[in-house]
Amino acid sequence: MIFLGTIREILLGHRTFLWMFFCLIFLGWGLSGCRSKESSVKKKHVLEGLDRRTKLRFKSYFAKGHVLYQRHCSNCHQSSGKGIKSWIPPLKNSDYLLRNPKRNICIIRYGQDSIIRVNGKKYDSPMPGFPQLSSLEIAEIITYVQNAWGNRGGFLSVKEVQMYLERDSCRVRF
Amino acid sequence: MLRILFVQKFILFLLIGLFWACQSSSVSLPILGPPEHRIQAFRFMNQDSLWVDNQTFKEKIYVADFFFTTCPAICPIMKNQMLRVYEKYDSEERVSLLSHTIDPIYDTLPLLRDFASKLGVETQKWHFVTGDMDSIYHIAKHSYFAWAEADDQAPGGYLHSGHFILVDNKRQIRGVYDGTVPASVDSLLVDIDLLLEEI
Ligand code: HEC
Repeated sequence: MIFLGTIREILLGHRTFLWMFFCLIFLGWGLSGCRSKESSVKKKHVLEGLDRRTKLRFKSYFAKGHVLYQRHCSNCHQSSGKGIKSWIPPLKNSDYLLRNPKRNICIIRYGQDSIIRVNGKKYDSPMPGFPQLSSLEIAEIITYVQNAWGNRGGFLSVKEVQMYLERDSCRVRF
Repeated sequence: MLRILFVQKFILFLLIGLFWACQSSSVSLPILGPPEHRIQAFRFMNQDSLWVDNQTFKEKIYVADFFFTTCPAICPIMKNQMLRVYEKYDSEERVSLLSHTIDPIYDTLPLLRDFASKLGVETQKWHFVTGDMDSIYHIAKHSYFAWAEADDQAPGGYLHSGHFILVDNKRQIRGVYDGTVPASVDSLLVDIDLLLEEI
């Protein structure tokens, strides 16, 4: 009885605290709902059907690709992937980027100076090549840009990049 | 009772003090460089094939920088930051921007024109100018204290400082900012507001 009494006292005496406590719990619950929904949708889409090993690879590619992107590409294409006006094309939601992952290998290795259309808009400024980047680094960057900012391009492995570059496929014009 | 009065007075003094501090902190920008330093007379041509000289900025303040259109490293960052200035003072006629190419051989007038239109820029506000190479390098070094020179070991073939230089209506330098650092350009935007009150 005494025990219950004290509990009642605490509850009544600290009503404000109690309210705050409940509010916090409610808020936390709401927020966690948001987060888990968002990330689960994303994961399901990009990683669906991949085996465990590839999933792990994807994660490490994406993380390292992010760092490489910041260092080599973000000055032009921006951290947001939005590009700069009609000068630098966007990578976020770029139909050009997502249509042909293999072509991106060549663009990064050798650069590109042609007239292209990205999401219906014309771009014709030159982009320098990055011959110093290894096949692995190219794969990591592409995996990053294909899946950052809401892009849904999936995984590109270093094997594919290597094979592609060895066969000298970049000479074929797109 | 006494104590409350005391606290009230204290708060009053504090407020007055704060006010005073705020008032005195709104000083004008310093004048930089050696005494009597002015941007020397110049005459360059802009993307619309019009002459740009000191008269162009007679009753204006302007932000100057040095770049080249094919610069792969810091120029995109600089241009993106300069766009912030351009957009903020879109309708303020007293603010102009002046970008000098340091690669006048490659950056021809049509190319500069093309470049400006890619950035969606109007001439009246943002001039992309070219001219005699030596004059550009000379004015960079001696008037704006900016660094620019050809260097085959630098990305794109030129080495240059990414600075934005704020010049007032008397051709005096009032501020120097790092055009590759957003926070530094934040203070440029604040300083332009200050300078506008002065002219
Ligand atoms: C000097 C600025 C610059 C840098 C640095 C740069 N790009 Fe580009 N990028 C461009 C320009 C300009 C184009 C348009 C090229 C054309 O018109 O042929 C472009 C085009 C592209 C495209 C195809 C068009 C699109 O929007 O989908 C991709 C993909 C791309 N870049 C990825 C990258 C990646 C990845 C990096 C970093 C390794 C990078 N770029 C670094 C300027 C740059």
